[in-house]
Amino acid sequence: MIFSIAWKNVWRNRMRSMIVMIAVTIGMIGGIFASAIFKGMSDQRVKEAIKYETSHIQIHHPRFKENQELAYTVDSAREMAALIGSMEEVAAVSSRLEVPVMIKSSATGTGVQLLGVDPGQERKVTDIHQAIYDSARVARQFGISEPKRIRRFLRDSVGQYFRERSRSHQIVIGQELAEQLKVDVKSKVVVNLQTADGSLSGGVFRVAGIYRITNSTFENTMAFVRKDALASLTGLDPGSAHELAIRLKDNRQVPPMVSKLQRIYPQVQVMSWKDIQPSLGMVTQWLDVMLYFIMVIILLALGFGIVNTMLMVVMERVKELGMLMAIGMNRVRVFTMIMLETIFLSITGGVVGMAIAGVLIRYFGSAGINLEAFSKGFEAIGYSPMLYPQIGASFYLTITGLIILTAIVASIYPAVKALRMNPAEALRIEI
Amino acid sequence: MKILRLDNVHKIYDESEVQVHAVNGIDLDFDKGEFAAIVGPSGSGKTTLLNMIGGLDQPTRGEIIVDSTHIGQLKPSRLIDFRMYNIGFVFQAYNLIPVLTARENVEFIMHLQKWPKHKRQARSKELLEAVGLGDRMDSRPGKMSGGQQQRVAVARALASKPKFVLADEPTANLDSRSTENLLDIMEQLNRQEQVTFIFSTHDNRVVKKAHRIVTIEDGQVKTDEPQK
Ligand SMILES: Nc1ncnc2c1ncn2[C@@H]1O[C@H](COP(=O)(O)OP(=O)(O)OP(=O)(O)O)[C@@H](O)[C@H]1O
Ligand SMILES: [Mg+2]
Repeated sequence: MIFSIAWKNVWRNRMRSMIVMIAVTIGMIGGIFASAIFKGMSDQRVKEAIKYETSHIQIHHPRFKENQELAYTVDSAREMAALIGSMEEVAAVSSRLEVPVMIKSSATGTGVQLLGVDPGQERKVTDIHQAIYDSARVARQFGISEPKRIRRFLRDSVGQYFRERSRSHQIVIGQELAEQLKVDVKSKVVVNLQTADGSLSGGVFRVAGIYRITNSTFENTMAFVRKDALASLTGLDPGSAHELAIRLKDNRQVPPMVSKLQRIYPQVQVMSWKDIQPSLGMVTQWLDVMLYFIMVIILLALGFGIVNTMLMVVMERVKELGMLMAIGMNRVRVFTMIMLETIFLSITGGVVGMAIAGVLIRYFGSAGINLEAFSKGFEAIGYSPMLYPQIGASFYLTITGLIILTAIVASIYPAVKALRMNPAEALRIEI
Repeated sequence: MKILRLDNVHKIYDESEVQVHAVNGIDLDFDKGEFAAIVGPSGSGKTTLLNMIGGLDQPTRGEIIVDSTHIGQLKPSRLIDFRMYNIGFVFQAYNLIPVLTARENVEFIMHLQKWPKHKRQARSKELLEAVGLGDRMDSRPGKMSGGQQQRVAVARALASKPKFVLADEPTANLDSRSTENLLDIMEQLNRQEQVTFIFSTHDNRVVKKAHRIVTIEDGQVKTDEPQK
């Protein structure tokens, strides 16, 4: 009964209620859409980091991360990789050697992490191969297959990801590193490292491809060679591994898989992408806090408008409220009625706003927003110019809760004002 | 059977320095089934008196006893429920909830009292037919004339079978035809339901219909006589 009266009361002053509702609607669209953009950006960054940099889960010798010694390989890595690879949740496993080396070009030199990978395995775990301007892809794209000379020209100028067996050692490096070393595809670089027994070792590699991702630090510090090449440089067994990188079929499986693997292999260190790049996990967590903060600010602003409206409502209905209290509405019921009216007033705009924001996010979430027109340098800061806003269902639920909370808080002052009235006085007032 | 007794009731308003003695020592008794008018010039204290009888206002001094309840001794929260179960109100205006239909208005208190639906519906239909609005049950107050609205208010006041109905100038906003009509309906319901009606007025056409006339002046009872 009080429910239906409160709902009908909302529509008594249609114009005024509509204005409040439209304000709430616009506030919600703005807040939610902006949140979705930020969330989309951060998710994209996480996705790319997983795709190119960290994979989902990595396994190391427990001492490897703090002290990267050649000897800290994963025990019986081959069997472990095979077993993990056969697990249902796992898409692929790549077993790698990882060695800190000095890399030198004719111009300059720098230190990098050299990853020895089996290209066949590695392409199933990370997508670095897709981040290379690959000659075969270019050829396919332009429909070029013959003559050989053109193919060779493409390969020489655009690079490839360990595509062909080559007598010389091949290395794939990042764009950033290539610029620093002033090298290009087909350039030669020298790699120097210290073997397990302390002696120096080195070899000449030819740049096979240059990858380009959004993380320039990664580009600058991570280079890839074939595993057997690195094994022979270091004197390690090509079957051994410092690192097992694991790609899962489903992102959501990461936490359970980490604990599962850690349980099965207590002797190794199992890390999720968040452990590997803690800043990444932190950004996503902080972002959530920030988004809610934005929403709270918006709702706070709307809340004042709602308080104002409800005060007007109470003032206008002094006589009616006096009558209601005279004939038997007690304080709880009067309070409930005003609170419900405030909630209905707020949530109607909120629901409409969420629906519109939802449709917008759905549309732009798949079509994407192209920001190239607005900021040319967008890629420079590590984000792709295509933006895919997205937001979880739980966000809408929380927002709904926040709107109701706002309405409840906003209704307190007007309701208390109504309750302070004495029905006899209220009924005497001349309007 | 006495259902209402006023014992030396006073009401003094303290208006910054000036004291207004709005009700100045009133003793009155009402029996079940009375149809009584409180008559007096403007400012004589009619509204003040009715408000105190209805528990909307507290006397400064004196006792008001409904059946055997001293309503001055009830806690505010109990007083609201006491009003809801024992007293029907008809005001001069703003009687009805504008967003509800005539029928929903009549059923409102029964709702608060948690009557079962079929009883509510039967009672509201019975009352609205009794006040001659059987065909307007689903109209909103805004679509009804002042007289029709006051008739709905009377039906609403009687809905939960109160001990008595208080009506402060129920006809003040009505034309003479509607006034006559409303009084006839009130009288008829007074007889049918055996409910006491106490109404204030300074309209002679209304006074004529009362069975008992209490005249007050300057907050005191001047005359108190039966009629007819
Ligand atoms: N809240 C108040 N504060 C101060 N004085 C009041 C208050 N309410 C009423 N009075 C005074 O009390 C006296 C009685 O008022 P009351 O409204 O009871 O008279 P009434 O007989 O109902 O008059 P009317 O016929 O005009 O409705 C008046 O002098 C009035 O000014
Ligand atoms: Mg009066």
